[in-house]
Amino acid sequence: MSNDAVLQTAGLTKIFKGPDADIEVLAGVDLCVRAGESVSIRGESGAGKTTLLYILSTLELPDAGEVFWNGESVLKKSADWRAARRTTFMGLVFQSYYLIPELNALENVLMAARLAGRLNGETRQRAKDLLAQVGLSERLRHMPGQLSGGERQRVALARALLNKPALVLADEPTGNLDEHTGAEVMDIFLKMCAEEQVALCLVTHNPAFAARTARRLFMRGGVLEEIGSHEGTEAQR
Amino acid sequence: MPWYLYLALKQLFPSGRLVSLFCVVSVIGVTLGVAVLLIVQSVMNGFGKEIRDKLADTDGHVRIQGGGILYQTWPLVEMAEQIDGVEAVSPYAEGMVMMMHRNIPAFPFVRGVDVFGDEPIVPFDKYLRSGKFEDLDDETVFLGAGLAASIGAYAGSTVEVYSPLMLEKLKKDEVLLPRELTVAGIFETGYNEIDANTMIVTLRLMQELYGLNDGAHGVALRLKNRDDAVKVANQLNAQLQPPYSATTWLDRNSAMLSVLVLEKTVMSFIILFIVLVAAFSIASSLYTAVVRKTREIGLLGAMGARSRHTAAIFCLQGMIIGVVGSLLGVGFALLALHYRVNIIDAITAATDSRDMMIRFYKFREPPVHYEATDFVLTVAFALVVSTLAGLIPAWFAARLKPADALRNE
Repeated sequence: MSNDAVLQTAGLTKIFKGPDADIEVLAGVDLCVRAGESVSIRGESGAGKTTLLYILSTLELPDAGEVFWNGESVLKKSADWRAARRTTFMGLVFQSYYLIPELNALENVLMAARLAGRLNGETRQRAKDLLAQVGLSERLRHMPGQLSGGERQRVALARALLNKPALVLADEPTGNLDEHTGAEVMDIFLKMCAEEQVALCLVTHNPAFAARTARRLFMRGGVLEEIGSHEGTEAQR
Repeated sequence: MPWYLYLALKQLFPSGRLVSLFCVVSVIGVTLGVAVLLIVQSVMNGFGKEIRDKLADTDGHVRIQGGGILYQTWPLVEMAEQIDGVEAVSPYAEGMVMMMHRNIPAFPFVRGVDVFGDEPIVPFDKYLRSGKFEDLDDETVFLGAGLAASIGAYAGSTVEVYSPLMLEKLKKDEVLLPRELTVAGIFETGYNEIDANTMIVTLRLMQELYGLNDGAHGVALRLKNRDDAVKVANQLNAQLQPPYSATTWLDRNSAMLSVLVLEKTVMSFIILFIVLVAAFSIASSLYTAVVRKTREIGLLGAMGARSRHTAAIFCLQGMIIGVVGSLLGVGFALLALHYRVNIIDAITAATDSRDMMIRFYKFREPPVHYEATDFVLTVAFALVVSTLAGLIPAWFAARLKPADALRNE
């Protein structure tokens, strides 16, 4: 096991029961994400990328295999322990933003601190700073319905980073945005993860966005294949 | 503040808006249920209290009887006067007579009261519409207002009275003339059973009419506090030897009092359904919210929320609606009861039925009596039902797995 790994898996297997036949989505996935490292995962629709992300965050449990957060095996821990750890260890960003419609932008970001029991003056200030960094300092009191898709995703990004997590898991964060806005959001996303020295595990369909991460993986047949890194050569896909 | 309480409050009172439509509709439902329940209960209490007051006033709080005629009442009177809390003690006699006025017959219940005691057992001054208690002597009579109206008598009229004793003598072919009595006063208790069927004479006249000599049918007690009736009766019964026994006004009117309690219970039970309907409306709305917010529930789980806390968001919403609705309901009920005369006046004026209502219902201002128990029970019921209404949606929310909820796009 790597010493500086924030996230590591060993032999993750996941089988979904189907009406006709069982579908093996993950067939022994081994993954290691080091502190501050950015990793992208690409793959065809239905390849199991989202399922992998949910298992990495323990929102879903594998049929076999192990998940380690900061070197600590988590699957044998209680659901409450994992939930409590998740509040501070990782931030999650989804394709559909999932902002709470009754809360304004600032309140949505602060929900992460409330859930972690860390709501105080410091986190309030950090939430404002993060919203300023994503270019929303003038939109703190705006409700989600008053924000564009790109703005909502930037709020979701600020929320994911508020508790200074070691890792951000992002599932198609630009999937609902047009190309230009998506590129803009991705710029901010990668820049802030780098600035905060947060490890990033990014699931995306977009090869251009994937190319901007340090390590690029491709999911095929239920396993991950490394297809390139900044240190090495991009494999042909 | 726990995050789930914060989120429950925000879903009811979202940022940027004063309140959500769901919250307004749900709170109105609970408010109406609580208010109507309290208004009906308080008015029923008012009527019940009036009837109880009249029963207790006109019947004597405690009576000592001996299963027949008592010829030596003074030892009983002395015994009763020794007991703490006894305000007045007096022998009485009562029975039925036949009465005629202008050839209109009536068969009223007649009660003979001691007019020589310090204080009368029945507070006549409170109920006499004409005449004074001092006007009652062996040649006069007080008539209930309904009885007087039924035979066309009024103060100053002369009525003819036949007692059962006279009728017995009539069987022996004795010629007997009726006893002629002057109506000295008309009383009205507001309790129709008494007003339509009762006449009051002196104890001495009653003894004459019934051939009791110096006897009486019992001894009546008036207490300083009628709530002590059971205690005083128990004290008396501890000293009395059979066939003497003491009974309270509660014992003698138990059937009527049971009807009053039953009436209030049935009315409350029926109106409780308004609160239940409001609770179903809350449950339905919250369940819809759970379905609508499936992905947000998934997000909260993904962010580290425990399922029981996520469930608490919906349960607390039901409870908050219950608290706000109950408080508003109590306020609305108190306001409506305070201004009940104005409200009734407005309704009767609009329907041109003011005179008719006063004539038939004998009141312009419905009596109201507040009982803390009613308020506590009603608010507790509304709170429990509203909270339970949130439990079922909460249970559904708790069962949602974050990954399944997030996949639900």
